[in-house]
Amino acid sequence: MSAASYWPWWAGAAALGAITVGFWIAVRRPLGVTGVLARFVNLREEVEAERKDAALSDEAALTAALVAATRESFGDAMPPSLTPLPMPAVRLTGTRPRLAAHALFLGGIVAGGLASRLLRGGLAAGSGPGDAYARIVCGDWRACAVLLLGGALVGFGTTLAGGCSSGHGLFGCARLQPGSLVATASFFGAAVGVSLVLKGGL
Amino acid sequence: MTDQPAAPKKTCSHLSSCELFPKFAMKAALKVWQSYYCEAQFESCARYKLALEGRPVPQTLLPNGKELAPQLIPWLGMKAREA
Repeated sequence: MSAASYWPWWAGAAALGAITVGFWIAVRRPLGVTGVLARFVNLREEVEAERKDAALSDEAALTAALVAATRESFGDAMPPSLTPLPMPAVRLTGTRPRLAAHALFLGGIVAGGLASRLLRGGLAAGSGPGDAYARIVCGDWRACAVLLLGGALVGFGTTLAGGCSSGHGLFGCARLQPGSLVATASFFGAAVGVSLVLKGGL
Repeated sequence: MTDQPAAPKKTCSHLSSCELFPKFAMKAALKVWQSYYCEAQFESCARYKLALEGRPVPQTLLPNGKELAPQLIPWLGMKAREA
């Protein structure tokens, strides 16, 4: 694939910036692709949690059930009033989107990638791992095995770090979250180091 | 003897994404959960533990690990509206 068939870097940067800001405005939750993907890995538990949440759609009923559970757990020592208190000084995120919304989100990523390739030289131009990958790692069937192993390691790392390059790198760093700054520095630093070692630059 | 400044409270790192925390924080009758778990023993909170593992945390799960009984909810909701 030639460099001319890539989209210009600034178009990608503008698109990612617009998506990151737009997602926060629309959903009020951090954008993280692996977090969304993980919901489908835990599909059975997610469906069960969604079923339970659906039974609690009535706010008054939920509050009443919580008050009853509080009385059961802590006795009558608590104040009986339901008077609203001031909003806590915590920046709250919105409620978790439904599974169907996240399925649409993942489908959109695949469809967007395909559309992007079709508009820039067709699918044939983007098949295979690419010349640079073949030169640095390998180009035959082993490339698929390496990519598979890399994907598993990414899954392990993102679960350990609580986010990936989109959640921490794009969204967390944009919000100057200390954990995201450390995570991004760690995984990009490690990636640069590994590619230098593979290229024989060190 | 000099007065030592009070150590800052260590609160749960999942407050912003916990769907029950706003309810605990904004209702006096539920505040005890916040004091007991969110601002103190959050490591023992069942919701925190699940979130830490990246697993889904249903709204029905209480910090002490008990579940809100779904069959009680419609009846309780009706009572709450009548009151």
